Order: sequence, then C-alpha cells, then structure tokens
Amino acid sequence: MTTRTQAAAQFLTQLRHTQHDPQHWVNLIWPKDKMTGFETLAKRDLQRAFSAARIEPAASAATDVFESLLAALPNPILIDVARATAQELVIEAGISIKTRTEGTVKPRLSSEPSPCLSADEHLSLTLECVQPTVVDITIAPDRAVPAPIVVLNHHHQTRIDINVGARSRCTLVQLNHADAAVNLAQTVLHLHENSVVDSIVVNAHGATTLNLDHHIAEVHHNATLQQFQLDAAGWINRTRRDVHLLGAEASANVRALLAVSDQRHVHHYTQAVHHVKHTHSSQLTRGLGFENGKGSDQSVVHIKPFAAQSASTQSSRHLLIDESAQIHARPILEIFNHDVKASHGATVGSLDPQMAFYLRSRGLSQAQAQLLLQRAFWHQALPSTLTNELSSFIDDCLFRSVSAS
Amino acid sequence: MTDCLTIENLHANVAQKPVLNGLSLRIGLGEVHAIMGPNGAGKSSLSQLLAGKADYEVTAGSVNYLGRDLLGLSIEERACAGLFLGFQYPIEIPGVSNVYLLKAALNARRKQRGLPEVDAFDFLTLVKQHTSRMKMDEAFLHRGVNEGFSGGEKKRNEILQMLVLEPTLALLDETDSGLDIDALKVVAQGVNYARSPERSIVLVTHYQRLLDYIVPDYVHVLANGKIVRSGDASLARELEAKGYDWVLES
Repeated sequence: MTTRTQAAAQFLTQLRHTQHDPQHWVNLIWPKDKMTGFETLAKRDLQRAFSAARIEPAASAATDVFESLLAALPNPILIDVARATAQELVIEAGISIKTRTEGTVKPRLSSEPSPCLSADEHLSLTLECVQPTVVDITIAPDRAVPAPIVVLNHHHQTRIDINVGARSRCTLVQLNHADAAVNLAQTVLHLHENSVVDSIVVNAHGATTLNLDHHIAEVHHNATLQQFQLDAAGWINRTRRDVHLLGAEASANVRALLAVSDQRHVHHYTQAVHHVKHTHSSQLTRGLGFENGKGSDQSVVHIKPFAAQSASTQSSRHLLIDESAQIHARPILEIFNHDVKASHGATVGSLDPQMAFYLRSRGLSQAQAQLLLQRAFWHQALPSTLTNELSSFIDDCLFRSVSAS
Repeated sequence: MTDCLTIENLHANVAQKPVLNGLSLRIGLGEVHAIMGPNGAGKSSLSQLLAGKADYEVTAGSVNYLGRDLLGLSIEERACAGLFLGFQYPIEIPGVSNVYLLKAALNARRKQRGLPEVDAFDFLTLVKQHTSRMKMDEAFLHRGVNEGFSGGEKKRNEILQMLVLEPTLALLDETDSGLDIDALKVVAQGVNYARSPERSIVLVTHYQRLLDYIVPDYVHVLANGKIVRSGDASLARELEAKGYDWVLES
C-alpha cells in the first residue's frame, strides 16, 4: 500500500519529467494571491507530505465502488478507456471510441481566459502531460441511447473528449479512479444542438491520490446538460468544472456532493459561463464535513455582455458533522449584462438538534437520527432523475465516507 | 386500575428558570386526561420533559412509567417503551419521507420488543388504512416529514404517526391549535379511535372545544408549574365559562 509520503515522492518524480521545479508546480496549483483558507491548509498538508511526514492512508475502496456501480446499472454500455486504440472501435451502433495524441493537452476556450483567473492559474489548468493522450468517445447524431453509458477511466494523465451528436439523448456515468500519486485527467463533454445528457461523475480515486481533475462541458444551442458529481474519495482533491453555454436556450444544471474528513480534503470549483443570450444555468453543491475535514466550494457564474435574458441560480450549503471540520463557501457572480436573473445562497451549519429530537422521539437512536439527517441533506444534491439503484449507490459511497471518518 | 404514569413532586428548570414546581399526577392505564392552563403554565414543558428533551434539568421528584424510572431513559428508550409525543409545532424534515420514518420508528419499537421487522406489505396496508382514517392523501406518505404541510396537515400527520406506532402513553401537546373545525373533528376522530384500555392519552390544551369531541376521564389545571385543580370533564366547561382566573384566585 502506498503511503502519502511515497505518493508525494512519486508526484515529485512525475514533476521532474515536466521540467518544472516542484515548488513552481505547487505554486501554480495553489497561487498565493488566490488561495482560500482551505487551500492554504491543503498546500501546507501537501508540503508536509513532501517533507516525509508520516501519514497513514486509508485503504482504497475503488474496487468495491466499481462493483457496486455496475450492480446499480443493469445492462449498461460499458466503455473502458483503457481499451481505446488509434483505430476506431465501435462499442454499439452509433457509439465509438479511439485515441489520438496531442503535443500538449490544453483546455478548450483557452484563448478566452476567465477574468477571474490569473495567468498563472489559467496556466495551471492546461494540465501539461508527459505523453498527452486524448480518448475520443463519439455518440452519433439522432441517437436516443436507452441504456446508461458507463465510462471507466483509470488513466491519470488522459483527456477524454465525449461528443454527443445533435439531437441525441443519453445518460453518461463516468467513474474516475486513478491510484497514481497525482491525477491530472481532463474530460471535455461536447453537447451539440438539441442534445440532452444526464451525466453522473464519480471520483473514486485512491486514498493517497492528489486529484486535480478538470471537467469541461460545452453546451450548444437548445442542448440540456444535467450533471452530478460526487467527490467522496481521494486524498487532496482540487476539482474544477467549467460549463460553457454557447448557444441560445442552452441549459445546464450542475450539482455536486462533497465529503471532507481527516483523510480527504476537497476544494471544489465550478464555473458556469453564459456566452450568449437566453442561456440558463443552475449550480447546487452540498458538502459534509467530518472530523478535521477541510473543504471549500467556489461557485462562479459569469454572464458575458451579450448574454442578455440569461438566468442562473447558485446554492452552496454545507453541513459540519464535527466541530473540527471546516468548509468555506464562496458564491461569486460576475455579471456584465443588466437584463439577467441571477441569485445565490450559501450556508454552513450543523445538524438541527430539534430535528434529531423529533426523530429520536419516534424511537430512532441518536446515531440513526444523525445518519438519516445527513442522508436527507446529501439527497438534496441528487438529481430527481436518478434511479433508485443509482441513488443507493451514491448512498453507499457516502456511507463508506461516513464510516471511514 | 394499573398505573401508567406516576409523577411525584416534580421540579424542573430550563436555562436555570423554574418551569415545574412540585407537579404530581397519576395516570391510570386506559385513561384519558386533559391538562389545561394559561400560557406559560408549564404544559408544553411537562410534555417535552417527559419525552426526554435535553433542555430540561430535573431538580427534584420522580416519574414512574409502567414500573420504570422514566427519567433514567434516553429519548429513544422512552419512545420504544411506548411513549409518544405529539408535537405542538411539528418540525419539517426535508429529505426524510413520512413513510420511511414511520417504518424506521415502527421497526425500532419492534426490535426493542424482540420482534422481527414489519413485513413490507403488512406495513403499507396498515399505513394506508390510517392515512385514509385521517383523511390524508397517500401522496403525503412519500413527501418529506411535514415538508410544506399546512398547520392542520402537520397535526393530522402527528395523529397518523400515533395510530401507526400504537403507543402505551400518548402525550398530545396542543393538538388542536391551528385547526379549523373540520380538521379538529378529524383529529378528534383519530384520537377517539386510538382510545383503548391498553393506552393512556394526555391532551394538553388551552381550550375546551377539543374536549367537545374527545371526552376526558379527568381534567387538570396546571398553573405556575404544578397541578392546582383536578376534576372530571365538567371542569373544562366551567373553565370555559369562568376563565383560568377563577381557579387561580380560588
């Protein structure tokens, strides 16, 4: 089993291949002028690991996660990214996969950096890789895929480009598991016009993994994205999601659930960019803080000058189960047009003792009542379209987090 | 008659302020008692203290419930032993469905009695029967506990829970407050249905109107943290006519 110290050493080795000074990388990941309180702590934690501090990791439960996910999805269309080759492989009629290489993996829209990012921070998101590989998954136009498409991704330095053709409709379940010291995977989801995608992203990285994954979604005319992301594994997670609404009537409902504990820190960043008029976004994040957990949620809505009559909502709520937990909520609105609707709300608090009393007065034990209230809280983040089986799968992942804390 | 609850000389504080000052009360199994009194008399404090709410510090006295020291039991132990509190202000718990809570609560009580978990079909049949009795839509069962319910719906939901859980002692704290006349009749029908030689019911109320529909065996007046007068159902009518000052001044 890899200790965090070993993981940090592996990370340093990887960094040497990139011809960068490790400290330079750390500074890129966490630029000094942009650091939140959490990031200061996360950086300190990372540097402590670099200094060979002895920190025992929790066991990785990724195998269990795979099995329970597949049990929750009867007859899925399974796409293992590891199977991709330079030659196109047809998984099902209208669904194919292949690989290609690029000199450097760069995020889309890199020519239009967000004004909220410094040049260094933007650079940190280019996720440079030693041997950058792109895996293309293509869903042809006019396809209503009845079964869920499960994308299994073990790669830690790969970009996955998922193209959903015009007027197509599908459910995508992406399970990311990197047991490497650092995960720099990137996913770019393209929703072409009139397509509808239900996306579920589960980050189930190893207990010693520094996770820096990046999800980008490009939503075109009249396309609808509903995305739910679960961050309940990995060591230090700095996950980023950018949603670009590029066509009129494009819509994105972006949800996330994060759990932080002594074994797991999460910095969650979501940005919805309204590029054109009549676009709609909603962001909803729920966080659970267990003993000594540290986390932050930064939700950004950026409405560009030409994006009139757009609408956005943000809700960032976090529950501190233990007094020692810290979660910072930072809702940010950047609005450059007057004719829009935008709202936001953020709360950080603890369990309501009145609710616990009510449940206990019905016969539930204190532990049962607390768990039930925690579950009720995290269920607020789940999309209503989620099947009971997937909902139970998410519960299992969170129960694992709860019991490991 | 077998004693269900015996309270002797109970003194209690909340935030170091006395709320009960030597309260004594005996409730036999199968009896219906009404506790009336002016605002701030200690009626709700008594109900919540008996249910085990942590805010209350008992400074003297004893509470015996079916031969056990009630004050020595945790909140859930009291509930599993058959004590039920119908809340004056039932709290909303989004994300926990009514049906889930009912089943978990019923199974907790069954487990305490050494019984297996309730059969899913039997449970749903039972719940649907009582839902119909309380004139509630079955859709309520799948909504969050009291989530978005009107005041009347919340009170009906409390009685529904009581019917499903079949307690030995039901403390109904101002179950009539906020109810229109039709809802009051439905709630009263539910309570009357629950009357049994094996079940004691304590109605905490300000007004006599609830007692038009649920005729109690005994009526007590609680003032300044203790019982100042007890009588039969006629005492409630006398209070309605003369007011609480009549008791307090006499």
